[in-house]
Amino acid sequence: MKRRIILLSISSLIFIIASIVMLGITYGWFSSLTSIPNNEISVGDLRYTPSGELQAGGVSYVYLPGEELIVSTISIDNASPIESQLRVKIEYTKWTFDGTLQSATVAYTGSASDHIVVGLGANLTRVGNYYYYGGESNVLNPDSGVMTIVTSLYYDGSVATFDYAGQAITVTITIEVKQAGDVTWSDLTDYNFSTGYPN
Amino acid sequence: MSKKRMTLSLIVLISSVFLFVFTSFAWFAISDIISIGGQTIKLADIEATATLYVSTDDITYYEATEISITNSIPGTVMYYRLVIENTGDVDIRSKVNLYGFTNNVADPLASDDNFQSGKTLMDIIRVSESNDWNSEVLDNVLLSTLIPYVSSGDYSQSSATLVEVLSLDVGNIATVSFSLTIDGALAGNDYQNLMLEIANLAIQSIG
Repeated sequence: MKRRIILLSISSLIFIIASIVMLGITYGWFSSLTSIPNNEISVGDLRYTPSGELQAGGVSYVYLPGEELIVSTISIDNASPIESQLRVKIEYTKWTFDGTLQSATVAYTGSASDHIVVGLGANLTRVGNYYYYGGESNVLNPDSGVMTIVTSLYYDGSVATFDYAGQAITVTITIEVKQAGDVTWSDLTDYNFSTGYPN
Repeated sequence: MSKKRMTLSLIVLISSVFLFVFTSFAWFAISDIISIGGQTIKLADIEATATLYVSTDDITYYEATEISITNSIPGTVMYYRLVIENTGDVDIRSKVNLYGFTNNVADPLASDDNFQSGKTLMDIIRVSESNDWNSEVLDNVLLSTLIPYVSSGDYSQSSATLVEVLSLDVGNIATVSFSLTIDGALAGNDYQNLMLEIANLAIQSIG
């Protein structure tokens, strides 16, 4: 008798499960799905190719004011698929004598107090210590092509006086790029020139 | 002997149930109406159509076949309108969601550093939603917060609900407006060249 009850219970359980399955399938019949497939969201990337060259310099390099430091024009080819922005900062070693001889690394701003002369690309506009391509808020179109950055750079012999004799100098051109919009700048590349007084 | 009979009985019972299910399914699937003993029963036709529109300025909208935001930059906003119409013959309740997320690189020829480091656009895309049918809204929430966490990182079976319930009577039309924003404050250069594929913008309706 007990065995019969167990078997009957199992049978009933299976029947209930089958009913639930049937109910589930039936519920499925009374629903509808409309879908719009193949969606995608992507963020582009920056593709800049720098070119150009500074003098190699080195600790034994003897530099004379007036000597051109640009071997070949520094330019940037923008092949980015997105809108972007570019800026440049030029820093150099400035020696001055005010009772004592002292040096400082300063940014070139095109002012009368600068000791270097720089030939910049025509589209660069200064804001603070940076030169922005096309202006501070200018946005470069995707794949905008080659941009001239620096064509010439040398110490001005008329202001780089005897204070520089026997001193080491460094010139750094830093090019920064970013995606358009509210994004922080990041270094694209650096061009460096330095000398040391030859022993 | 009794055990054998019981086993056979169970097999027959189960087979009968499944046979009933399958024949019913076939019957319902190919019929619009069912006639039993002279009584005619019309099967419920649950059907909703959806049309997607896209805009870059939230003013001028164009019909679209998909959500497609390519080569975007931080700050990019795209506006969408989804017009859902109950074209069936019973009242329905519809749910709208984004389903099936897959991270990828946007351009396989460019650097995949950001992708390899585990960055995902789900963390920088903000979603807003409102509709002209009920008070459900999403107010500039991160997409990642709408998707339940999956420890494996495989979100291909996950969904993000835009609208939980739209109750539409026969012939009703509801418009769901939503926007997707690449958050400029969150998206730095470390999110470049990433892509998020969304398998479906799905509208599920039940009667």
